[in-house]
Amino acid sequence: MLCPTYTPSVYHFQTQKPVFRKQRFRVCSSTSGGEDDRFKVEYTPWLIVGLGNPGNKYHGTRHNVGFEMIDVLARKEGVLMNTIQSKALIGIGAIEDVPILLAKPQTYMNFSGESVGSLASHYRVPLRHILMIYDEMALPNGVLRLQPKGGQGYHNGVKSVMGHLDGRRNFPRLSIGIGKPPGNMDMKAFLLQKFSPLEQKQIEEALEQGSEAVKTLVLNGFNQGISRFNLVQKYKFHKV
Amino acid sequence: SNRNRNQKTNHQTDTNPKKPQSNPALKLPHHRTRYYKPVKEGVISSDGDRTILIGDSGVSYQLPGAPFEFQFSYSETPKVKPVGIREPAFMPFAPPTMPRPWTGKAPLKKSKKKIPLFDSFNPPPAGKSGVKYVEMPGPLPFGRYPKEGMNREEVLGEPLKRWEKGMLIKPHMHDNRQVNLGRDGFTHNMLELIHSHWKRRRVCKVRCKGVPTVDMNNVCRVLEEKTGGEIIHRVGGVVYLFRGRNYNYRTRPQYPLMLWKPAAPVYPKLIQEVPEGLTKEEAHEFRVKGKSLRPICKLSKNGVYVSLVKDVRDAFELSSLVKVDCPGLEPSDYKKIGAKLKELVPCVLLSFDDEQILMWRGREWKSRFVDNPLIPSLSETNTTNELDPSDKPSEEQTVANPSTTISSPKMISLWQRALESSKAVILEELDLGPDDLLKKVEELEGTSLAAEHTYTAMVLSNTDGAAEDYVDEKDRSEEYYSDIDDDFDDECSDDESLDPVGPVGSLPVDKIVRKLRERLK
Repeated sequence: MLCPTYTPSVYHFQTQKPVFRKQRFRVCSSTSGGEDDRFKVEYTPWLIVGLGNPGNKYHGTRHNVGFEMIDVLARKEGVLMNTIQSKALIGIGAIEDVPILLAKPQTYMNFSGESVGSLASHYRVPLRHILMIYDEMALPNGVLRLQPKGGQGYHNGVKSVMGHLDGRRNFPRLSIGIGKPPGNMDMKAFLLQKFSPLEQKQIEEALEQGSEAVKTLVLNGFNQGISRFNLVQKYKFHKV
Repeated sequence: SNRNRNQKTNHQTDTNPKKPQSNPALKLPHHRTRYYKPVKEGVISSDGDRTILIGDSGVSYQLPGAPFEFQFSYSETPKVKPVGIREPAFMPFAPPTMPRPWTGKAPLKKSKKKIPLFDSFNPPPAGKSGVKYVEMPGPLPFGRYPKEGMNREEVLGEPLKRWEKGMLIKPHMHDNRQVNLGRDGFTHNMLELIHSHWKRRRVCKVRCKGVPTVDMNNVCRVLEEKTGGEIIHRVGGVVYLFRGRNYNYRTRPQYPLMLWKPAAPVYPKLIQEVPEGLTKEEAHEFRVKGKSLRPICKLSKNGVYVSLVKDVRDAFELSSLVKVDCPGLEPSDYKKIGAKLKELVPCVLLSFDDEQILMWRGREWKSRFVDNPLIPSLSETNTTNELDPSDKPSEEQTVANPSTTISSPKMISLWQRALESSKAVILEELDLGPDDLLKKVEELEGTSLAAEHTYTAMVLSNTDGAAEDYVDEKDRSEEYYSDIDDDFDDECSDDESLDPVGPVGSLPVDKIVRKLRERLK
């Protein structure tokens, strides 16, 4: 499901007869200025994907918290989620000048990589601009964490996405804590359960803070502000 | 009769017959001893040249000719001066005159296991058990031989290169031939232990667990200082200690072993009823508040607490009180951890109740974010709480197509292309339920399957490439393609834009081929 274009092969040039002397070139990668004098500088788009399961059955469950985050983002940034493309509900919008593409894959969680992979290749979003939003059991309920890269975290959705992004794991991710299953409750049952009223409140607050964080991330990248956000989130319930 | 014999041996060995104590090697010092003797800084007892003194580093033992003062533990000695001792001050080393005190038993028999010689002309076959192989002395450049070193720099030789470090560490990565360092820290007898590891191998692996891992920098500093080796790699609680290029086991510094563990001295209380900077009421209030506080982390027994200090510092940014949960740890362990945190963070300890360390950040605490202190941003979020999370974007944007407002022609063109090639479909109604949406998606999937699999070749247009060299263009086009499977640094330019349509002849490949031809002529 990669880019439907030809792959560049490596060209070797023998400019002189002795093979071992290679000609060196200075490589500069700047924008070609002549093309876009019509527009200002255009930023690389961000693909923001919230993971979840489609259908009423799974609506509002813990595993679908990524969808809720996308909903909040769409409402805040005024993005219309009106297109269906490659098995996902997508909406094109912008945060200030930076174009963003919100996506809610409508495949089941274990196959969400199919839609993310093809969307990323179609809109030509680089890996470092794919933000995955998913639920994380290792964090307490309502605690967010933004990371520039990470592992799969035993999340089948992330696993699938990684599988379709060539096994690369260095895409940014926003994990939303949902806590651990109480007692010896089954993990799957816990994931496909709805939030309790108290947890729902915490999650809603967290989603508001998360949308702000996504905005700063899209505008400024990973910087001091993001580490600060992580710190505040990590200890937000450890107060007197 | 036993006592009589003890008396006799004491009279034989002690130069000072006035000492009332019997040889402490014969009785084990136990923890609940009633013995308590307040001590002050300075020499406690001396026996000729051999003195026991209390100085900057707790109780230490001075022997004649020793290069430094011996202590039981080099890394786990608090900076605070001890206030008393729990057993009579006595050297834990063997007395110079008597190699072994009479215990009433014959010495243990020697091991019957025969270790074959390794240094012979007929070396034992590989894989034979019981054979110990000596490693060559440190990695030296070709044609150079190890030379006898005297001081630390000479023994270490020239600094190791990166590949040499890798080569030395690699066999130790998944090996547990190691020195274990526990709650006593780096003890005196470990010096000899490390040297015996260095006898056979160039690198000694030291695995630290438990209390000393709170302050790994201290452990590493002491390790380097006392053993004379060099730390070449350090991950979490594991330290790799290199012996030096010119190390020779026979000329190593030899120290007497400690024959028993001296009882730990008494230190002043860590938790005061009224800590400094607080009134009694405040302290009480803090402790009551601390009861309901959530602990920031749970320390496991014999865990690695490398990030503990940083975590506590971080948590102090948001809250004045911080609690750390230590279930199942020994009381002396979490007291030691508390004492270390008090020095390193720094903080004021409030209580160790319920196996939890409660700390207060103190009056003179300063935030790291001085200009912009962290304020909990929970206040303004209540306005949107009544909103249903399943709400689709609704009436506030009445503009049908928001794509007209955003300035992203590339995205829009791609979007339109997807629409034209019927890979995408615009939904007429926006407030679809999840089930309806799923149905729509499945419908579309059937129709667009064909479209998904017919790809049109992407065409690049590079009109300004004439003045530049061709490799430049090749690299740039690579850059475009590596979008998906390549990770850039973030400082890489964000503004790369590319118009994907262009005439067929203007592909970079064509240009390259053309130039190549010219060049070949």
